[in-house]
Amino acid sequence: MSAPLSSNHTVSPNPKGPGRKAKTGGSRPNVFAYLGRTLRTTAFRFTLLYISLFLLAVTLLIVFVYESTFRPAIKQIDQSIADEIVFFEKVYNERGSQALAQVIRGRSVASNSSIYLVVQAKTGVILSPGPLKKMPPEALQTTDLFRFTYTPISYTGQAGERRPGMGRVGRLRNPVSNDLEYAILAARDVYALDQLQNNARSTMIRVGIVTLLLGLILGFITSRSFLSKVDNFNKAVAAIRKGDLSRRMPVEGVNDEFDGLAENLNGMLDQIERLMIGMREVSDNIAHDLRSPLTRIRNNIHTAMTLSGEERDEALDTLSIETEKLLATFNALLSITRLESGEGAGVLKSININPIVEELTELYEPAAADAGFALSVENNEVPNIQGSRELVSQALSNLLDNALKYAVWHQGDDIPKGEIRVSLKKAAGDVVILAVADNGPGVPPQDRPKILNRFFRLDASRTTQGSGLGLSMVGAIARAHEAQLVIGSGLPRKVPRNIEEPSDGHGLSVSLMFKTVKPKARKELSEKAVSTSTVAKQT
Amino acid sequence: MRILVIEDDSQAAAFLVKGLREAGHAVDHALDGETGLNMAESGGYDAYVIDRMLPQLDGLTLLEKRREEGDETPALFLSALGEVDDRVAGLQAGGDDYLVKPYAFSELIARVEALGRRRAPTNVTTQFSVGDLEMDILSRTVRRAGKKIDLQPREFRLLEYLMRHADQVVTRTMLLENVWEYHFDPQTNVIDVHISRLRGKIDKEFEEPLLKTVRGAGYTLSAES
Repeated sequence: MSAPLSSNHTVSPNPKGPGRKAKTGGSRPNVFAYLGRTLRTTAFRFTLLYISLFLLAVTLLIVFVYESTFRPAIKQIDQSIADEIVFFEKVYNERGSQALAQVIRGRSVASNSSIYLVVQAKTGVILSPGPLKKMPPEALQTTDLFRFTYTPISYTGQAGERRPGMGRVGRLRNPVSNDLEYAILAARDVYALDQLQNNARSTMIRVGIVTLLLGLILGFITSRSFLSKVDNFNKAVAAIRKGDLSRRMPVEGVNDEFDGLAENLNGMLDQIERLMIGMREVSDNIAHDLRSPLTRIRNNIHTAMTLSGEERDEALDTLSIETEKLLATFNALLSITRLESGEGAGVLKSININPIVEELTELYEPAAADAGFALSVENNEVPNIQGSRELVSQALSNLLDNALKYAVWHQGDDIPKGEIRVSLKKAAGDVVILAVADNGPGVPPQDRPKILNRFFRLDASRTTQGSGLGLSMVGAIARAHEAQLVIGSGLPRKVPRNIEEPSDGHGLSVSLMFKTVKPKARKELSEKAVSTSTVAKQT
Repeated sequence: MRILVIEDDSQAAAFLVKGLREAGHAVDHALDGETGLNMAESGGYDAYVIDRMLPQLDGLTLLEKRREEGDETPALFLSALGEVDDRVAGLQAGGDDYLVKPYAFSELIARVEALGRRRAPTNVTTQFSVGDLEMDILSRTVRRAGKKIDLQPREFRLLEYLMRHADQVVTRTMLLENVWEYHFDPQTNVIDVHISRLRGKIDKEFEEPLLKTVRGAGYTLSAES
């Protein structure tokens, strides 16, 4: 629709053309392009379809109203005229022409809308009163109901405007000779009926036009808003493609399907962004955390090459330990990446964490005691969670490692004992909380979100041992379990006077909030288990 | 031991073969699954070391075929796929152990040698002895030089594993996997502390230490000095 219009303006040598073109300038093609795009939208097409359906309905309604109102009216008129003619024939046959003329005269006076004409066939003499002075030409062609126009005569005797009538012609024959004696026209004035019909028709047409216009406008508006939404989406996507990963799809807050789509896409973009940032961080940190041990290893190799005997063996031993640490770091990185890509978690099953807590605290107890920590356990019985025994135990192990490593008190005389508390309990809302708290130096609240980042360590110089991957692994495991990870204040510190307190008087606490297995999910799981076991039996 | 290494990465394979030979084993090597299967069929090996991803025939299928033939030679899978499900798949295919790349060579050699021992019918044995240290599985008692030693249940399991693999290097990861049944590497020296506690009970009061540390690898329980 838009294409021929725009080409008209640019191609045809319309004398007005150049001036107008110059005036509107470059905006015109855009306007038409926009119009064209609007008209091509799905929303507009739907609107057109609806309008067409509506118009069809209106047309059917008109036909129905017409059929059920006007046709019976006309039929009734026809019937009454036909009855009248039968009556007139009867009067003529029984009582003769004078009586007929009298009856007709009486009837024309009684009814304003009835029109009669009686013409003697041989002489053309008119016996009836009224406006008609001769047979309308339409009458000669038919024996059925026909329409004609006539000029009524007002009471003052003046001729008015021509009006529509409807009538039938009857032929009165001599009862003996059967010769045609009189032609008689009985008719009704249908001006009012026609008027009504015209009014009805024009009303319907107006309603149709208004509907069409309203529909078009509405369609245009909805398609425009549709289009502007899609445009906004497109703009956002284009910006993201150019590299602005923080850009998000517009959410208008009206909770429609576009908002739903936008929220979904934004969730996806959040994850992509997190992955990208993670990747970037890793490559940044690899520079420091993998390059420096590698450099150290290379230097040690060079040194070892110059040594001999026992010294050489010792240097090689150190080297071997160093490389193993590096390998462990690589393994940890690999596992985190796998977990975050969503492939590493494996199949999550309904598991009980109680034995994990029991076994791991038992595993760590001697090491904690050796390092001067009091390790206490609060192992409340909890419902099962959907998870992986390996991953949950890995997370708890990392948290314990972390507490042992960082919750140390500096050397001094009146230093209280380090405390680590592992607690497992059920909380409201079908949540199982696994928490490890310590009374070490803690983490300042502003640094807490960062401690999950790969290779993050509180001391920038990275002098303390450890890969800096322990907590990021816990974070990745939490995400794989859809568990909430909360980093907060741990146990209160009883700080001796000679120590400066860096944080808020509490150690660090890391809590994992797992969702419990819902009864329904549990049922599904067991069904799944049954079906796989039957499969296994068959094969 | 006669060991068959099936590994398509020729550099890694050369390193493996060299290392295993230096440790005193006879080693054959195949670069792909088909060749590996043919060599395994010829028989006579004490252990297989199989990479999971191999050209022509992958490691899992290879071992499944051997197991169908009734070949019970212990097998260790090497894989870059280290998650729980991968491990389970490897063990279901008939593997006896599973080692994730990258690994330390000392870990590999300890595990391969542990595999070789597994063929001996240790399962029915209920009494072990290393030097003057004796363990009775049924009565759950441990004696050294005739003197009864009290052990915690976990210490007992730890010592049992060490005795089953006496004179053999056992890594920390092997201990964590077999005594605690966890598959991860703790950063803290948790195992070392358990070992030193055990040591305090079985070695402290005696002249000859039995539980020795192997630098860069793990521990070994041995009467030889």
